[in-house]
Amino acid sequence: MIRSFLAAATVALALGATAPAFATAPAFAADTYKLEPTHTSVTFQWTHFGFSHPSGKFMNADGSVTLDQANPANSSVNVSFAIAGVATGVPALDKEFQEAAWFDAAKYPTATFKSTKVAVTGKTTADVTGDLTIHGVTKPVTLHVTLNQVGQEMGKATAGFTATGAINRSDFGIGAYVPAVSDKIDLYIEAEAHPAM
Amino acid sequence: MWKSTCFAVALSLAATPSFASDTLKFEPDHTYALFSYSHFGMSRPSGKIMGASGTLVLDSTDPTKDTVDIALDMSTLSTGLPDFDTQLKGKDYFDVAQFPQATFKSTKIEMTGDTTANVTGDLTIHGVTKSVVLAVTFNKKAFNPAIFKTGYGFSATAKIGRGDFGVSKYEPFIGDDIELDIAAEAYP
Repeated sequence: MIRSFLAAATVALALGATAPAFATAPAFAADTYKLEPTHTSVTFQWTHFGFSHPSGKFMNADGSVTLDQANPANSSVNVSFAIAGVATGVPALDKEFQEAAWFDAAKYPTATFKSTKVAVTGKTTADVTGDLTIHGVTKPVTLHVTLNQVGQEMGKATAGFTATGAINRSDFGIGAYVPAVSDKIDLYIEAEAHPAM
Repeated sequence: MWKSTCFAVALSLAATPSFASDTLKFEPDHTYALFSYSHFGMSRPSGKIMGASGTLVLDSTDPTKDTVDIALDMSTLSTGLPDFDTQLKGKDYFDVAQFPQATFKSTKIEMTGDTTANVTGDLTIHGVTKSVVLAVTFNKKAFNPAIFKTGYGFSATAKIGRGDFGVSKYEPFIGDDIELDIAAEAYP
């Protein structure tokens, strides 16, 4: 999919097709965007006895962003990730994370985030507070979001975001091996979204 | 595996290894290179390469005489998107069938602080070798009760240009600049 997208985009550029694409770009006023599953990720990182900082990643986001550039505080996000898609680079650990001692994916197959408040902190930054549900437990979490760009990506309207945050996994009932395996989990989020059709 | 190593603590309280040798082995489950790049300035996708093998030789008196010789297994490449992993391992990118490993062999170490050093070495990716500097932070030397060994933990960062290694597909649409975030644990 990535390859065909890139190939199509390359062809489009070669043919000078960007100008018509720009001409048909949608207006950006409280637009609803669909998160792009292949370019939206949540990387979570912990500390292993203080030696190293292992990480895992969720992709294949299912969700949307409402972006109100005129009044950013009215923006919102609602996203869900499948626990089954976790990728740590260690297949045995991916499998173990599905088990009852960790995410218990059979009972709680998704993690979700629904924003409840957007506090603008700068020209392209905002603190987005929302309800984060993991392992069946919902807690308020604030993400520090940067709007990287709103524009055209190979002729396709796109909004790109980066966000960071931190949670304590024990708050969500996933406290195995705390503190040797740290309770604190740092979150690094990348997101791209395209106007919903 | 994760669970079993943690539980092994209770079973192995008598088996302390000796430290006659300063040659350590990289621990493959806690050693990785994460690469990230700019995707049209919109986001930074990333992937991770694991499967470390190799040695870290520590000089007991002079850290600038330490040496690193490590290989990562390119077949472990994971982005979280299995289809994309297959593409990246294919001929258009890393051509893992022909170049199954990425390797780094240190050639020079300069201390930059009490726990930091610039480690210069030969990085080989996709069959191409270039000199690269890793900014390394020594995180911790301690007893790891999960495996009952005293080990060493490190973090490192580096920037490389993928075109230098002959992996330039879709440049300049997809950036040449690659940031590397490296984690490593090494044990006797």
